[in-house]
Amino acid sequence: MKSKKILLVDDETEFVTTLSERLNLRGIHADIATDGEAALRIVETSPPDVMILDLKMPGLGGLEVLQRTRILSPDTRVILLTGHGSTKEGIEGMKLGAYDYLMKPINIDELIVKMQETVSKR
Amino acid sequence: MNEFLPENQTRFFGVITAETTHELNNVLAIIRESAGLIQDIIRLSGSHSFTRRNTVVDCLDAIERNIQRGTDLLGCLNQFAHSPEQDSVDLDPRNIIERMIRLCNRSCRRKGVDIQLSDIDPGLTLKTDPFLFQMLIYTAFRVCLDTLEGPGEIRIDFFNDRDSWSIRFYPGFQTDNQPFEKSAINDTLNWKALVSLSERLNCRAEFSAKTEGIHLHLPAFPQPLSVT
Repeated sequence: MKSKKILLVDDETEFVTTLSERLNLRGIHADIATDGEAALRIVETSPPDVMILDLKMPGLGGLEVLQRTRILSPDTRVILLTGHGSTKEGIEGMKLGAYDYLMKPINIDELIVKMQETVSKR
Repeated sequence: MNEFLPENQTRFFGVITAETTHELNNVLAIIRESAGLIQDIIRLSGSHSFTRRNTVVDCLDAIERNIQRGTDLLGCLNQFAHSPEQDSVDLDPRNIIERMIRLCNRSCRRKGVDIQLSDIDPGLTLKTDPFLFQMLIYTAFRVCLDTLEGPGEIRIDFFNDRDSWSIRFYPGFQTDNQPFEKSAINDTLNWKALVSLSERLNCRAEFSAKTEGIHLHLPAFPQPLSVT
């Protein structure tokens, strides 16, 4: 995981910056983007190995970011973050090519296991 | 159908509750990560850096536990809020009972009542109005709570009689427990509401002298059922 590029995408700035710091303490460097457009700019210029993507964001929503990422960088594995009522969207996301989805608030150990799974199955 | 029409009040209630719980989920996510970062820093700093390290760690553990508690509650509430979206779905009645137990946990605790759902999962599927079915289960709880005179236990299980299923609510066997009194139940407005809801859902509510409890007889299923 330490050599992999991780991108965290969520409009809740406090959430992504704190999560990024926690991952950093575990030796995992993660970039952050707080909206869909910013995420796609990063995907175009420096495609991540794994993207942790919130489903519900203002502007460009998670599913649209997922679809565009699949085109721009097919090798990027996407793990969706959903709220409890959004399991349908999580499943829809997987049909659109997401690797998996996790419910918020997430457990960081579970997230790391999921990320390790995505890179080991490539 | 537009959820803001006057005749769709329940859908409107669902929309608002779903929005609110989603927002609360994000709040809890931030709290979890912030608390988690503090935990990470303390654990990495070693035991000699804080004079009250153990107290801080205990506080953080309490935060984590309550985050989980809030998350569980929000999950149930969010599922409840989405339930008016469809008039008829295939649902697992046991799953609905678990959800309603969680949602009325506070009012039960205030009365010192514990609700115990049987571990046996009959694997039933019921095609019905999910919102009204939740109302039915919740109203059954209220009837039981209304008639229990003091602290006690309500037990819930599924009972099969000649391929006909019922959900049974009856007092558990604790020393101070009082049985449900039929006359007391019949007098309550909640019982009348329970009967009315049952009829609406093609169920039947009755008081059973055998279990001294309430039985909700579920509608007949088109295919045979098997206990898993």
